[in-house]
Amino acid sequence: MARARRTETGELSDAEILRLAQQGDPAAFERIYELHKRRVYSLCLRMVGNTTEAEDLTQEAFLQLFRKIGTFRGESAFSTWLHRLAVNVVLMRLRKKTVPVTSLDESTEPDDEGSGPRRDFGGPDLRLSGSIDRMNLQRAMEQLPQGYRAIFVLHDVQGYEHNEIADIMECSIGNSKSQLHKARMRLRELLHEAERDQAREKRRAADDAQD
Amino acid sequence: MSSTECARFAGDLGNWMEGQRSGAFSEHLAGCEACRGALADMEVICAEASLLGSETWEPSPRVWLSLRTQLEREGIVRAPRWNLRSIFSQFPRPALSFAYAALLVLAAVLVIPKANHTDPTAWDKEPEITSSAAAYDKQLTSAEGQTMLAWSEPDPEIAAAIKADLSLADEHISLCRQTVREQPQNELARDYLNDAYQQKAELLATMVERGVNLQ
Repeated sequence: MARARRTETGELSDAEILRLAQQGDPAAFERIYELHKRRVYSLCLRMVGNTTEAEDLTQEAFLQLFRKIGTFRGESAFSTWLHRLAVNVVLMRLRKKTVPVTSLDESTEPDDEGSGPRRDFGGPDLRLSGSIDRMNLQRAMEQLPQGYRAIFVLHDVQGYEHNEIADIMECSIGNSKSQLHKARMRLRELLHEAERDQAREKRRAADDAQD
Repeated sequence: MSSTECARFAGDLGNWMEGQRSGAFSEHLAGCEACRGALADMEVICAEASLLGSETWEPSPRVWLSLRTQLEREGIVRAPRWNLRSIFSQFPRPALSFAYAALLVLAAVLVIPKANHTDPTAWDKEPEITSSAAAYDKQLTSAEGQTMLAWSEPDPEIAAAIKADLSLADEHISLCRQTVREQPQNELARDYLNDAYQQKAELLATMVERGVNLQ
């Protein structure tokens, strides 16, 4: 019975589950999917910002994982291997899009894509007053150009180091740092814009209430 | 503070955030409220972003169904199939096998029709599939009602486990039925629905068996 098999597999160690999956055990495949689906899906969702596409990418990542699982030799942790594979699947998809997504080897001039220093850089009236909440940050991330979003998610959300990002995204460590900085600067601008919009809305609402 | 200095600081803020801190910028920061604000913003963004990493979401069940279909299509995994010999070997007494077989026959005669992938009218078979499933559901519900009336399990832990399994089987049936309704051409979904019904029949048969053993 499928359920009984699952229970049995659930008591096995990760290494044993992996070994069973490498032998083609369907219950082991399902167990691996159950164990890692949330993390992979969440990564995809953060990087593409669209649930349907994130589900497609999750499926593709696991499909590639199961195709290649026989070649896994344990040089790295299994979850690291899977995660990296998922990132590559997402990046491949992003590269196929028409937008120049992973233009990491482009000019590192600080003012490209509008993220460079501005005359109002850090003006006291624009300080984010510790008011960033997750929703605002999430919304701002969704507005980032895809290349910036990918590198920001990998470094600041998922905790990858620059050398790992450089390896995955096939760029230099310097470019990874530079792009991350631009992504953060752009995020800051977007958050300021959102804050200004909210303030404007409040004023409007207050004016309406007075009228 | 001059905007040129601030602009230079902005250009190197990334290095600062990476821990490469120069004395010149420390001095600049000490005297420039605007740049201190920018740095504080960056630190808040990084801190909030790292918290996002602990949030995860669940993909819909369709992802696994589609993945499983693809894995089977590529021959990476095999579809689970029922092995009647192994099932019946669990029942040493012919009478119990017979009771169990009655439930399996119920499963067999009402099997959900398979769609023909080459049949252009396959999409039109949804009413046929859903009505079969509904009839199957009805019969199984009736069998469950009769089993529950006669069922008496003295061990509360086993009783709770069986009830939990039944509830799980019902959830599984409900999910599979929904998928079959939405994707009538999905053969794997119909297979899963059949399996779900058969799992429930097997559970009911187990209850019958235990009832007989306990008498």
